[in-house]
Amino acid sequence: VNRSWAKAANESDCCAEALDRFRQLVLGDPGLLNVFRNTSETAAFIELVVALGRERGYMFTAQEVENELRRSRRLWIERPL
Amino acid sequence: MTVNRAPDLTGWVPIRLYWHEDQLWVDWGYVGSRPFTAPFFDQEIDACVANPANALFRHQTSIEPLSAMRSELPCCAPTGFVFHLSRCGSTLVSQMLAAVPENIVLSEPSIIDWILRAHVERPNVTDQQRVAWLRDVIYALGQKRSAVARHCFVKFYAWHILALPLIKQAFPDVPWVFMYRDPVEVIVSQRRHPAAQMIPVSSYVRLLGVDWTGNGPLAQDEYCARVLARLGQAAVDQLGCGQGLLLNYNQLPSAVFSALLGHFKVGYSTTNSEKMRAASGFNAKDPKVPFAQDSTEKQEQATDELRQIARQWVSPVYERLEVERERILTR
Repeated sequence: VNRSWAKAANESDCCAEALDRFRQLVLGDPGLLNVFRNTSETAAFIELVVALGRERGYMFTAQEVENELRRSRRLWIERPL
Repeated sequence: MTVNRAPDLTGWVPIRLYWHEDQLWVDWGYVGSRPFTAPFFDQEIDACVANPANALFRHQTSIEPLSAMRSELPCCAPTGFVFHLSRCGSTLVSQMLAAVPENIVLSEPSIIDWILRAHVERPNVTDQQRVAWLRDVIYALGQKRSAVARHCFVKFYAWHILALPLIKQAFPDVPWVFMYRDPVEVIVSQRRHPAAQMIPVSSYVRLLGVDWTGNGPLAQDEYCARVLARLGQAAVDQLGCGQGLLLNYNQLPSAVFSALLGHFKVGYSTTNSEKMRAASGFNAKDPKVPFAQDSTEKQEQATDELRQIARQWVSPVYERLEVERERILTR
């Protein structure tokens, strides 16, 4: 049980790290950023992030992207007012 | 996600400051060349992060790229500042200014409020730091994101008139206006939809410095009246430092053309003046709805007790504002 828990945690870290590195790559690539900006529907956007990440060797799941998207929005929504 | 190298921030504006391991960090939002025309700046950012790409792919940097921005990208120095008593037509004025394509109008960005309150959360934050952050953020928000951008106006939160001495340290030569209205009408509006600073909650009570021990059915109205008096008095006190103009709600919208634009040292083409006049015909906070004068309605809703509270706490300052307004006009 412990081993499988550890494995799941590592995979999760690995996914999060891959998504973080992919975000850095995208932020430095205006062309790629525009491709994403032109996809305003959330489900299609998440699918595109996973697919274009995978094409470039960044492996993460749609759930990871959705969680990060939600977290990013929450940082703005929950700003101190 | 955080990066330390300097990114290309063309079309990006600072939207939020936050502490990370005792260092100040900046969260950036991509607004491209889109003009700020919503009644409030934060509504522009709500629209920005509604796009999933703008929500997920955001620069988060240390403070250095913010400080370097005005030397690396074209930014407008602020042209004029708008302060107000609340519920007195300041959003109408900002919407009129925002109707002109060459104007960048920053209407109550919460990031500015964060800076002006930073010392409350962290007492070790110095005035010098707040002045530097304020300067950097206002220049960065005033990035020239379109070919026609020439002027930048900032409308502050109502309580920020108390911070005018600090704001003047950052921008000593920028002309400012303080807008106000018959206090009875302001209190009626605040009773209907109270702003956070008009409710005796701890963080604002400390900032506003209103000694408060009230209770009873009229406590809320009395607190509101005392805050209004404090804000109005702060405006009167600052007039001696120069660059100030007073505008009463009952002078709108004509005084924007006859007094405010000249005070801000700007002039607009006939076409742009028409755009401003057209904007004044709509409800500033809900621009799809035509403007309706509501002074009579508000006066009718005021109870005798509310009038008494307004008379007791705010009328002396209101009368002083009226005297000072006349004095400024005739000098």
